Amino acid sequence: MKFTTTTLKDTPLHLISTTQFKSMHLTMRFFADLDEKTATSRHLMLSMLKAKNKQFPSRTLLSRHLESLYDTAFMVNSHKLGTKHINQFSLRFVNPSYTDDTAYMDQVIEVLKSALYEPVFDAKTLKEEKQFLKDYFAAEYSNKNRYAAKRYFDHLYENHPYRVHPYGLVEAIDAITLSDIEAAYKGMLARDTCLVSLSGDFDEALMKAKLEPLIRHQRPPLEKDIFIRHDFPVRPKVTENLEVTQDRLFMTLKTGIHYGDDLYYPLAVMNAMYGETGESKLFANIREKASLAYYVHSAYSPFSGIITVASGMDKTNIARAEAMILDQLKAIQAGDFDETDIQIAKNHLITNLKQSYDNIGSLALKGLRHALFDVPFKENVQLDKIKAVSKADIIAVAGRLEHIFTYVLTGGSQNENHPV
Amino acid sequence: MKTIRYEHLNETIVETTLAGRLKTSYIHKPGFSKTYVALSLPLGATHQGYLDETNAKTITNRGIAHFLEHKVFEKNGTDVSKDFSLKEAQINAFTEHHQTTYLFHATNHLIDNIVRLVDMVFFPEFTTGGIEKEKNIIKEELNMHLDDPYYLQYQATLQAMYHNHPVKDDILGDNDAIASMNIEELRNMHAAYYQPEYAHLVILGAAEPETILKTLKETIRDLPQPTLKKPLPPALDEPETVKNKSTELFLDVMMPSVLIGVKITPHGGEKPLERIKDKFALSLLMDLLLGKSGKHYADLLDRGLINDSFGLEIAYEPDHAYVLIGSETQHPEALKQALLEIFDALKVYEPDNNAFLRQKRQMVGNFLSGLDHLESLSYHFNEYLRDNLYFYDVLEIANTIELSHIKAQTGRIKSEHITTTLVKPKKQTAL
Repeated sequence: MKFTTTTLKDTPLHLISTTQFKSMHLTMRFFADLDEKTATSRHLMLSMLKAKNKQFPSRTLLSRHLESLYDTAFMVNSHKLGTKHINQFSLRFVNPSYTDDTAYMDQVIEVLKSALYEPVFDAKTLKEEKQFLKDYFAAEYSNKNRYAAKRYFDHLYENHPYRVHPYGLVEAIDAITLSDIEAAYKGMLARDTCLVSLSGDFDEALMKAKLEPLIRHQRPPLEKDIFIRHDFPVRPKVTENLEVTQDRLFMTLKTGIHYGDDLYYPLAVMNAMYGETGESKLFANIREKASLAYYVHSAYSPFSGIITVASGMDKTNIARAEAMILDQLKAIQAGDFDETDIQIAKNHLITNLKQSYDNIGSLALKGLRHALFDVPFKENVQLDKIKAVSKADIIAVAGRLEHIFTYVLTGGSQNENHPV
Repeated sequence: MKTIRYEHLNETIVETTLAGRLKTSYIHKPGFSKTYVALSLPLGATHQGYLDETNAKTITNRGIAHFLEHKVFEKNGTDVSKDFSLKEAQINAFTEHHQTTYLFHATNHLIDNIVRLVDMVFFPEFTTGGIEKEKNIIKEELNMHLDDPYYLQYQATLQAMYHNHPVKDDILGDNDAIASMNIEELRNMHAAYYQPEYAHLVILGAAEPETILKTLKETIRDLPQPTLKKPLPPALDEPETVKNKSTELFLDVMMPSVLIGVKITPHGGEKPLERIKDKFALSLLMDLLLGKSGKHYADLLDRGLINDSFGLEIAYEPDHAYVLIGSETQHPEALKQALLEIFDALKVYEPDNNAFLRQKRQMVGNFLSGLDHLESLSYHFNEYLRDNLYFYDVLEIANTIELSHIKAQTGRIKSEHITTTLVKPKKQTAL
């Protein structure tokens, strides 16, 4: 696998050439500041760019064209990463060597080029996309795992400057006009920083030439420091009442450690041992030994520095589980774990890292991490850092964790806010 | 060992049999970092029991296939997952209507992990104490699903389609069935279904196939003795018509949704090639009729009756088959009516040849891209092995389908075979 960085008129272009895939993957990411005043219009604008354009002026015509291009998938999504809002375009398509169609490659790139530079912003499409977005937010309520997570993050991120969902605010949808959409579009083209990635089996010089028309003018360089440096305060416990068969429990541990910090790898190993695997302390004790829950896990977000522990169980077991979750952290802080525990945690991270190169979609993400955080594209350095984490490192980093919030969605008693 | 090469796809399979009984296929995938290994057994949620040594039938608890899947991981009180994790492998399993699959992916120690998998699956050591502990865990798994309105809608649709066939029951069973699980029943089901002759080991990875298979043949020599217990074939006394034509569920949701179930008369176990061609033709028909490129989809979108959650799913087994069509919608009654009218009009439906030609190109692309995903490739490879076919031949089979074959499928969809399940909001309680 070969990773080459070059540019298209100063916009970084990552060329990741590798022979094991029969498909290819092209990604374009546009970066702006994450702001609740612009997130909704940015996301709706992105959805409208996907729906149709001057070359393919209806959803049906575009869909038919993609089918005839050997099932090319054209996808868009809005993400947030630290302080940034990202509008992402992706094309997944069959390698041209599997077709006799000489026009095929150019036609695939034309799909993205038309979407970017020949937009059609009309009232009908805006109305449809607004309704889809409202439906998306309404559907969050239906799946109680998803809804419980939403309520947890609503509380945790209250008053946080980066709380806004990358799709925006449901209450802002109705007021968005076509002028807002056009302004968001012009702003994206004029001011957003950009990153282009291509993965698959291809000739680099040839493909670089084919991708040139995707970037029309110079852009500002990518910003590198995008971490959220906002402190998460201790919050009173929140219990909310809803008709659920199974109570949902969330607990927050503040770490203050971000991606790229010296303590990042010790924390990653510690969290894997604590709650990421089937052999983790949380799983082994809360599910296997005590049979309290079907699922219990801890997730570490290196962009906010937060660990979230999540579980679902009968309401009569919640108090006991809360205590056990904190007890397991204290046990790690006291050094109550052995080399087998550490090895299993490291193996989990090592396996995940190695096999992430097997997914063509995730190769572009590696390029993104390289561009933003100087993480090497190849895995060697990261593997060495994982392997080098010692028991003492894990104890030290666990000692920095602080429990700051608990949220319970219960089918039991009344809603209540009460002190931790 | 047998080598099969698909030159135009640049794919190679090498096959052998371990201990003279366990068929093994190795799909060579150079350049991939992980190796993916899957072992499937023909015990699923629709199997209702077993035949003992005298050929007498014993009916077992609902949900036993899924419970057994959980218990196979126990080796005399300890969880064998840990041993996989220590050797850079992540083990998992899932139970479906017709089979249970155990799978791991590993970035090291391949032979060691395969030997462990074979031992885990064929030589169980679960205990009474372990079974009791598992009951509460599976009860919580069931509770988690019972909070999911889409799961409830799906189960209600199966219940409405089927009078007798066990596909209508929850794969996990129910609370009473889970509470009744016992060691003897689990051992008997294991003996009847978990025989190497019924299984197939599929390996996908970058290492040289011949080297790995040679080592496996030398290492895996012991497999369980054949037993006299046998699988119980699923009962086929199921009417063609649906049990109920219409169900309404009032659940704690904000968005209503519609799910249509179209019951299809199954093909039976004979002539698998014909069955697979019919499955493709039916799938192509549904895509032409309701896919994103068609005029019905555009019309439903224009009328505000569907959103981007609209989807289709087909199940096509020898003993049961159905199509599911659904969407979230703010107008459930109108969407239900519109979809029923589309099915009513099938008798005069003429599939469009240009659309069909596009579909052929789409199938090629979809097939090729699928070969990049080891997990789904292993799943599909195993699926067609059950009918003694290779997944790599499927594209050629699909290409033999003609428009007339697609049109012929319209006759298999009748209004008395259709059921609708609407989910409507119970009350607005969002916080």
